[in-house]
Amino acid sequence: MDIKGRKRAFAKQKLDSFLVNPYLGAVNQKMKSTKLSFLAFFFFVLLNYPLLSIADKAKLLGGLPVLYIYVFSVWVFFIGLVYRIVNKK
Amino acid sequence: MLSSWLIVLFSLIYLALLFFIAYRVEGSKQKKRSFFQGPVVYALSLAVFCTAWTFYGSVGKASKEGLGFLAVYIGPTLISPLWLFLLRKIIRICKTQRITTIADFISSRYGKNLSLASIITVLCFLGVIPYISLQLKAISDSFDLIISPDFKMKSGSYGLIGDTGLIVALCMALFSIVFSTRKVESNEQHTGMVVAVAFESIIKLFAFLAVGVYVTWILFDGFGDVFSRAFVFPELRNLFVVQQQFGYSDWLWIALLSGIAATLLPRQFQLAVVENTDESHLKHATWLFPLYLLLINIFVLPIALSGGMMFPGNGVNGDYFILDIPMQMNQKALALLVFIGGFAAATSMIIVDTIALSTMFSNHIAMPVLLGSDYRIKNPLFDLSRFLLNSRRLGILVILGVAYAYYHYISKYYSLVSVGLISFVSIAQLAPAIIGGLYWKKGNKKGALSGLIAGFAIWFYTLVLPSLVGSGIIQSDFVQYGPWGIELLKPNQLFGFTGFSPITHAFFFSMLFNLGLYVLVSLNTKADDKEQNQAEIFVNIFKYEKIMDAAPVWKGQASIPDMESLLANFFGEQRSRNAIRNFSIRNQISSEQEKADPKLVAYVERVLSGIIGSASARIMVASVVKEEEVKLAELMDILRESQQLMLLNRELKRAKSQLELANHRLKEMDELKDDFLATVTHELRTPITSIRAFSEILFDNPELELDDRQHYLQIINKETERLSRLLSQVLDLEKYDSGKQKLLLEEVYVKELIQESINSIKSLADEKKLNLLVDVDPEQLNLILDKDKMMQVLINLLSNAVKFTETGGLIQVSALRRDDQVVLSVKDTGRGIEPEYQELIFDKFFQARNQTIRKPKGSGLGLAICRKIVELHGGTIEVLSEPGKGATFVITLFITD
Repeated sequence: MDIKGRKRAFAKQKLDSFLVNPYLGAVNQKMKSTKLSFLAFFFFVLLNYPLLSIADKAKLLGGLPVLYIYVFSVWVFFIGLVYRIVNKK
Repeated sequence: MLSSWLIVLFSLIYLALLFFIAYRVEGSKQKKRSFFQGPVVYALSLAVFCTAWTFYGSVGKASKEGLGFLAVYIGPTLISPLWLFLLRKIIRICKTQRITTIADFISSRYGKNLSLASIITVLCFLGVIPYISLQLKAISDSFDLIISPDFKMKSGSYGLIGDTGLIVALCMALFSIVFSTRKVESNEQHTGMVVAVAFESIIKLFAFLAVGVYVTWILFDGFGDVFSRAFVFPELRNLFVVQQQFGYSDWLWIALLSGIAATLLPRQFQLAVVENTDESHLKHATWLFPLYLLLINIFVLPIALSGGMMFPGNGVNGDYFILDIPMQMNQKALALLVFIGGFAAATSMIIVDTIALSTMFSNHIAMPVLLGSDYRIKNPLFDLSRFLLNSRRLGILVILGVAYAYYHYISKYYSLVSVGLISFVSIAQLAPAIIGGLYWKKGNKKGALSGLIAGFAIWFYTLVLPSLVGSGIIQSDFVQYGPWGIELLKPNQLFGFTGFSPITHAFFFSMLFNLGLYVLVSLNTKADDKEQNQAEIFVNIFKYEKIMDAAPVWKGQASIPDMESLLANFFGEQRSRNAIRNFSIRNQISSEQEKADPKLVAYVERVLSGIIGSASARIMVASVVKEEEVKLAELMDILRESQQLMLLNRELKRAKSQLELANHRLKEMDELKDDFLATVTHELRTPITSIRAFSEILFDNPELELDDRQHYLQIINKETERLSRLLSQVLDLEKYDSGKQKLLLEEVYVKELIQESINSIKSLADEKKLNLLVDVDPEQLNLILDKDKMMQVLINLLSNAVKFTETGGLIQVSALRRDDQVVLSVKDTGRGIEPEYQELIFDKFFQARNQTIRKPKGSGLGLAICRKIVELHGGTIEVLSEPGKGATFVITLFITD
């Protein structure tokens, strides 16, 4: 076998061992779980006192209540992030 | 005002549609079912969380307290990503242990304890039935409202059909009985019911969005318009914020509370865990469910504000703004849609909760009572499976009956929201026992039991008792001054604490005592063996699930006929015998002998668990076997052994497959060798035959002419040469094949290489008057290679080209550099090579084996050797050709530094 071919075969073997590695899936899962837990905690802070109170004013911003804008945009952002994390390969 | 007949008609049509959907799905083929059991249906079914309380009550709450109502949906939103691992673990446990209710989950974790399961069942009944009656109230209120001429509910004004709540309760009972009590296995999934619930989720969302769009863009001129007009009114401006008394603490605690509820409420548990068909659906639920919550909430504030502007002064109940607005504007179709939406929200909740609770009733109340009595012993022919189904049906009727009674006599005194949150707090009491049970091995039965009882007691004392004051059952002094005038025990201000609203207050103190006792008692008491075993399995489920079948956590003596008769209670004799035989075959245990294998006993217990719950299954199995306790250390040994066995098995399998592969390859090579030998001997025989023939002629005819003699000798000489060439080529090839051939690398100018190769065939080419063109670019191109070997290749290719090109043809030799490659090519204008042979010509003796195609002009080993040499240089050789238009042999070599 030539050098290139050998290199290719080696890379393939490495990839295969990666794919069939039973622990890799678990590691990935754990990584995702950690990320999601952190995300939940971070947004829990964003959506609670004291940060919440910053937006909690009876004022309009561009015709919409400030708190309404704040809560719903953080909410949308949160859903987007969760979507990205769970769908990451 | 709409005619009551119309409403009744549409409600009946809607219910018929639900029946139809569930019925069609249940009867559909497996192929179609895979869609119904997909992730979208799963996520939509979880939206059963949004009941009539969400549908009507959110607007009501927003119209009184402003954006604070959102906490109930923020909590579940933030919790839902955690489902990916939390629910995954619970689902995995429930599938392997065949657990079908939340009560069974807790009881199973803490040693399959019967009293724990029964207590939790009673507590779930207390917590959830008022919630069901709340749905009945919502349906009946909205019905009264939509048929009334002045948007005001007249209590007790029953339409033509009598009591709406009762009718709805009966319809729901019918639906639940039809779609949930067809089979005894409670772990059997009810796909029809799930799809019907998902459908209801779509209807309620659609109805809500329709009103939202109508209010925002038709009544008003977009969001900005609604808000800026409401801004003028100070009392409406206050709804833009959460700054109420206890605003932020309520927000925090209620978010936490509803997050727990969205995970553990019996109906959520039923749909998320029991009805789950594929764990990967959780992945989609983590973002689809929050998205649903967001959509159903986005118009709540605009609707509440426009209701506030439309009905100023507190004449109209905010709970029903969503219905009042279309009626005020005389939008009858929209009002009808809203009514159906609210109806969907209520019925989906009623159906799922009723099914979940009825399973708990039959498995944790009715069955244990029967097993505890000696009724079965006196009546050996008693049909257990019919008893089970009937108790489930009875459970459904009892639940809906009690819910109706509660609605009729008590719930008229509440608004929609309070009952919902009271129910949440009761279910939250299960959280410490469940979460602790999943991750903390030391948590034990006594801890769980004391925590639960304390939590429920505080819940009852601080929320349920005060709520009964309005109905006159409890004296108002009790709330105002505390029992017997003891201020420190005032139900809404325990220990004199006044900083929380009643719900938060109850949630905080019940959880404090619940969690505290769970941890403290667990740390200070000892769990028995059964409990420790279950704790080990629950906490490490991902490690043990695969070996559950193989590792019996059971010691004792049992007989196969006894096992059969246990299953026969529910499946009939034939099916039970088959089940046991199949299991025996699968696990390679003998089913012939009288004594049952421990694996079989464990299997029977698991199957029974799926039908009657783990605690009852335990009792039934224990009644027919003689067993010994399994210590935790033994359990660990058993599990470890079977795990090692499994690993060993896997190892063996891998070794076996490798061996098979090697064997296969050897056989292949053997065949190749045989083939090669046959061809070589055949090739050798041809020249030898002619040598022998001519030498015989010479020997037999000494009087031959000199010319003839010369001619024959020349042939003999040529054939001998051919023979030795063939032999040296075979030897050559063998060297390459075995890898013994080494290259003598040196720096070579490509132009020189080509020129020298051409020189050695020049005379042949001149004979046929062929034109030879050489093109090397760049001129000074040099390569590191074995010059002799590469010349051998080129000469071979060139002489082939000369052989196959007709007189006067053209042969082009070129060498071009492309990036890090050098492409050498030899192009002729011969007859070309058919596409199907272009790869085969590089095989050994290909030409020889295909003598019908063309007359042989060589040994048939030349190209095979060429390929070997080129490959040894790390390059490739191939041929490009169109038949009739010549052939080009292309050698690609890589320049390596």
